[in-house]
Amino acid sequence: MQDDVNAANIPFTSRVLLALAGGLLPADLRTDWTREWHAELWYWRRSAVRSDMALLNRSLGAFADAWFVLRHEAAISRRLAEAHRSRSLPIAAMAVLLIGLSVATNGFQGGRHLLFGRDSDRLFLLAQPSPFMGSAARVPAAQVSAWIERGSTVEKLGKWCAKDPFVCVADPVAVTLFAEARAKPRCESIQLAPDVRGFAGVIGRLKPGARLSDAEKELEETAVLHRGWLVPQIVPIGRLRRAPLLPVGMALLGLALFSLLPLRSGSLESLAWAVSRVALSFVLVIAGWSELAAAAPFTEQAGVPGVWAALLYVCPIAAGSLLHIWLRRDARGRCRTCYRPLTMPVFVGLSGRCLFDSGGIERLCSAMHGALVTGSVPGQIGTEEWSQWPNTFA
Amino acid sequence: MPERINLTYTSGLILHAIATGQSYGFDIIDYTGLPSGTVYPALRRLEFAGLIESVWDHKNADKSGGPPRKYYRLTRPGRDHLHTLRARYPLLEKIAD
Repeated sequence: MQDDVNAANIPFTSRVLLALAGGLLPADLRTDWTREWHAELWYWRRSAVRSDMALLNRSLGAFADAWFVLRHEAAISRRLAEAHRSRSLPIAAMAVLLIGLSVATNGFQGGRHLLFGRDSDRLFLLAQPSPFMGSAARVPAAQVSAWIERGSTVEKLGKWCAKDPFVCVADPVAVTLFAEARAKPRCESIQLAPDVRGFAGVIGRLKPGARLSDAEKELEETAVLHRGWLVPQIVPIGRLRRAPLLPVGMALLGLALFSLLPLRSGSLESLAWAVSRVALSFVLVIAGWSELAAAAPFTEQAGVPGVWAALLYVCPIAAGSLLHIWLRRDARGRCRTCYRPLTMPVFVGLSGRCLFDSGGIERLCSAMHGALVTGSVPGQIGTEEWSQWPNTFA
Repeated sequence: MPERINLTYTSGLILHAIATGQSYGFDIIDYTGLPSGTVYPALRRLEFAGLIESVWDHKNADKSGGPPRKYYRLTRPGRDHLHTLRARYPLLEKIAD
């Protein structure tokens, strides 16, 4: 009866806010908590003329109150304390941050488009040999332009401007792709600054059904290739982008599998946590690496600059190796049953005290599983570790 | 397990409000001028620390016809704590009762 009187006297908006805030709490705490807030609002409204806005404003404090009560609820505070102590919390936070940033900036879409987009396999570079000792052993821009204008294997990509020694293109798709790759062709027609450094080769697009070998043959027939000149290769952007995928991907996969080997899982739960931890860690490395691959500039030889090649091949493997070492070491200190860290010291032995008893600290996880004996007794045991006991047995 | 409480001005103000007869949560908010999102968590913290205790007031509820209300009162450690706080923050004494 009193609850009905109470509810009728409180504005709907305040009741909704209290219901939302109360929803944070476990059922056993929620009843008393809601009664207190309803009663206070009821009396406060009755004591003077109060606007709904004033009541709403006061009801907002219910969220802070509910959050405080929730944090101090024994079971939840223990879980929160565990999460705070867990070393995976920063990783999870970093993952959320990275994914959020990437989604927000369309980073992943750009990377995927360059790596796996359909146009990546049709858009190509003309791999011109490097000039040596003043020689110009490359197909002149005008001949390339003529080939693209008249050829049956390649498409005309909008307005071409031949600016020796470069042939540039104003195709919107190609410009977007190259701009994403920071490999901006030097071309006045697309309003790029003439001093832009970066890719200075030729790009074009294969006609549907045309093969690379046909295009190369056609170019050879169209252009005047002097004696001793190399036939320029036509290299699709997709192939360039995907070149490091196989070796680096295999290396990372191998490292991920090796990271799973030292797992001491004694239950399905533990195994699931361990596998997801390894998978998430390596997915993060792969995601960062693919972003790097998508951002690499091209060279005239249809490759990536040396520094970038080192970054694309060495960095992911180095990061994967470090991750593997960390995961191996971390797996040692985790519970076989629930995969929580074994941090609670339960027994401190003294070296040589018993004949068959090794000295050291035996540790349990916060759910009382597992045991880990760590080396010798340290001179001082951190108070942080011992302070977990009251939380556990409260 | 009692929670360790800091000697903050806010906790002093709330303890002072309770000591001067402001027993209910919203009365304390009106008296101190602090927002409800500050006062209620502080009340919970003081209660966890054993400086105040809360009791459901059924008597006044029956008289007024309203729902029962929870009121707060100081415990002995709470009075001692308030004494310390008053020494630290002399302005507390000057707040009108």
